[in-house]
Amino acid sequence: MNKKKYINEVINNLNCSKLNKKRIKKDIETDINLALENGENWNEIKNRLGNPKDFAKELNENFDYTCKKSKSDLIIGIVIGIVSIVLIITFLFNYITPKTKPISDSTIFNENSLDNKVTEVIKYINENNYKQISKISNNTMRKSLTVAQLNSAIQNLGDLGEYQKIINNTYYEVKSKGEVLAVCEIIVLYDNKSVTYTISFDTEMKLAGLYMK
Amino acid sequence: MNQKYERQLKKGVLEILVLQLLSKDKMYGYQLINELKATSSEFFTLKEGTLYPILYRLEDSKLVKSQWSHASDKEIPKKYYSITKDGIKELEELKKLWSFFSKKVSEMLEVPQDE
Repeated sequence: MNKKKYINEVINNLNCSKLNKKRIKKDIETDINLALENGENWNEIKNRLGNPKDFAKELNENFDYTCKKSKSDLIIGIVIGIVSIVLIITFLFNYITPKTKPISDSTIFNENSLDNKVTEVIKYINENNYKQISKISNNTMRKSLTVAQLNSAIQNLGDLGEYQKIINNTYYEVKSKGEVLAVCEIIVLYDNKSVTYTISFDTEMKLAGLYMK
Repeated sequence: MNQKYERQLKKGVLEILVLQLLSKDKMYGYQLINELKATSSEFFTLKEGTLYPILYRLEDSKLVKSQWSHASDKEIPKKYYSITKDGIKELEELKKLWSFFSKKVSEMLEVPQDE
């Protein structure tokens, strides 16, 4: 067995961290080279060091402090890793999953204000007044809603006839992806049919979403 | 049986002896093994498998520090260990402890056994 094979066999039988293995490998190589320089031949050195497995065993036994430390570090690292992943998943889940509560439980939105705002939006839709809808919208909504889109959405509803009244309204506070919205589901009765509107407002009571069917 | 006790007792004092040798001069691993062997009239014949963990422990505890010598064409780079200020302080404490310890053990062993 040559020097390289001997050292590799010692290292392969160690229970230490990679860092300690690297440190030991370099030290063994150096000491063997120094012994050779000092006049010992490889066979003498090999006999003095003993069987590589025994050499590794001796290191492992004497290394209890450092090895245990590296193992406990590894365990602590794994535990911290798992806890971090669980926390991140929980956070993402909470962040992504919308949380809904009735508007009566909301500390941000007021039902009467929403009534007024909803009536205003319905009025502008009935008038096909893009300018006013755009004016009461938040920036995101204003950028994404074009005149053509609004016209097309209204035309798709067909011939509604004259506006009669709001026959049902349900309001929720929805928290999703860090954003809080008031989502209002409104059923409006027209002469010829009824339309369900889903209208969202942000915390500044700006129009944040509009859906009609 | 004696060999087992001898090994255990030797293990207990190796760190003190290594610190003591390093308090005289900086040394590399192979040199430490030879010095221990020579100064103890071959009573302490240390193997690398025992010495390295001791040196790493002492280094991790900042009682010794290591430095590689610069490699040259003729010379093999050596990892020199030298004692730190904390190491010197620790050695003084350990010497006192050893003195107290050996005195106590000797006293106890010298007490005649009750017949």
